[in-house]
Amino acid sequence: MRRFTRGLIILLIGVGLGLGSAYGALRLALEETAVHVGPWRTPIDAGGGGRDLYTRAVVAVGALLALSRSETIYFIAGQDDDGETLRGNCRYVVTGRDVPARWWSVTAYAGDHFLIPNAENRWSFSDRSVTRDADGGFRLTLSRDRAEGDWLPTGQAERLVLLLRLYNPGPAVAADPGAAVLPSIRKEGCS
Amino acid sequence: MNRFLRLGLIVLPIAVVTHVAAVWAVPRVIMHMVVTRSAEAAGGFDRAYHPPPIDDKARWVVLPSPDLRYSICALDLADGPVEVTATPPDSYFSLSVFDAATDNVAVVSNGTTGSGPIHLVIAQEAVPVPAGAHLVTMATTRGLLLLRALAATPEQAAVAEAARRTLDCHRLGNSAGPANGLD
Repeated sequence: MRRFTRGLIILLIGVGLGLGSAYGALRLALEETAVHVGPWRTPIDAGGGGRDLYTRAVVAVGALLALSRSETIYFIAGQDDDGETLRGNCRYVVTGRDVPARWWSVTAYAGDHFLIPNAENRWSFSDRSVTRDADGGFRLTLSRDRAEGDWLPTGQAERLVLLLRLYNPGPAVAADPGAAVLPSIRKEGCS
Repeated sequence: MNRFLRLGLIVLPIAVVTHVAAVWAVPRVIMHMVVTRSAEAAGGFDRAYHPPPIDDKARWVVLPSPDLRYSICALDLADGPVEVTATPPDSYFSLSVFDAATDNVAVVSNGTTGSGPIHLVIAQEAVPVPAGAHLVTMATTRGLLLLRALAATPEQAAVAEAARRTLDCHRLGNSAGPANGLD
């Protein structure tokens, strides 16, 4: 009985270490293997068949059914330009220009990667809906309180995640996502 | 031999095997759940299902796009290839196939096929396909076909809604036959 108990404890320690290290590895995998562009990062190939074991698992957890890079590039941001975590009680301004793609969109999610309930039922802006200034630039405001212009309400979310989708990206971006010129995410203040 | 070293030599292989097995299993388990749930919603495998437009209540899959209309077919190739047809609008429209390990084994969009109907045959190995059809081979028996139609404006949403309803999935050579049942 004692021998059985000792064997069981050893087995549990081994399984625990294995599961713990797997969890830690998946948390690190995207950071270590992703292409970074300012606050944005993208897996080398979110949906492709040549992905390694870890990328496949990370994408399954965080972005299931992502398409291969030739079809779509997904840039995700959980931090602002200064590297600080995006928080729902802060006000952010996202500024940029059109990114070369058949169409693009910026979508705001809560920290659980689901859309944020809000009275406006507004979760994104795309190249079809965004307002551009005379120079072709756009400016989105993320905040809990109503803002002038293109406003993405952040409701009661505690943490925020932004996803920039490029569908049918231009050939230069598809070949080298790291060279893309992407919107900046600047914090204006917190309540 | 040191007692702790001996313990480590036993624990380490268990930890390594568990680590690799867990990372390997994560996408397959998640995909199995999504495919099974999709089949349940559609009333069986190899049948089109049109979920409601995406909003904050959509909790099937993380990071859904509110700018797209989605439709799905849960695929089961155990009884043979599955034939898929859909007619895209002018705006972005794609059909993508994912295997049981979540790999995106194929994506066909109207950016490459133009405005005509898209016709796919999904099989586990090369098979003769009807004229004009694209053959998609998928190594696993089960998987998922996902339709995406751009719906970034109310006008596009109306067009996308009509376009996704053209999706038809059925076993090859059995266009009017019953879909595979749930197991």
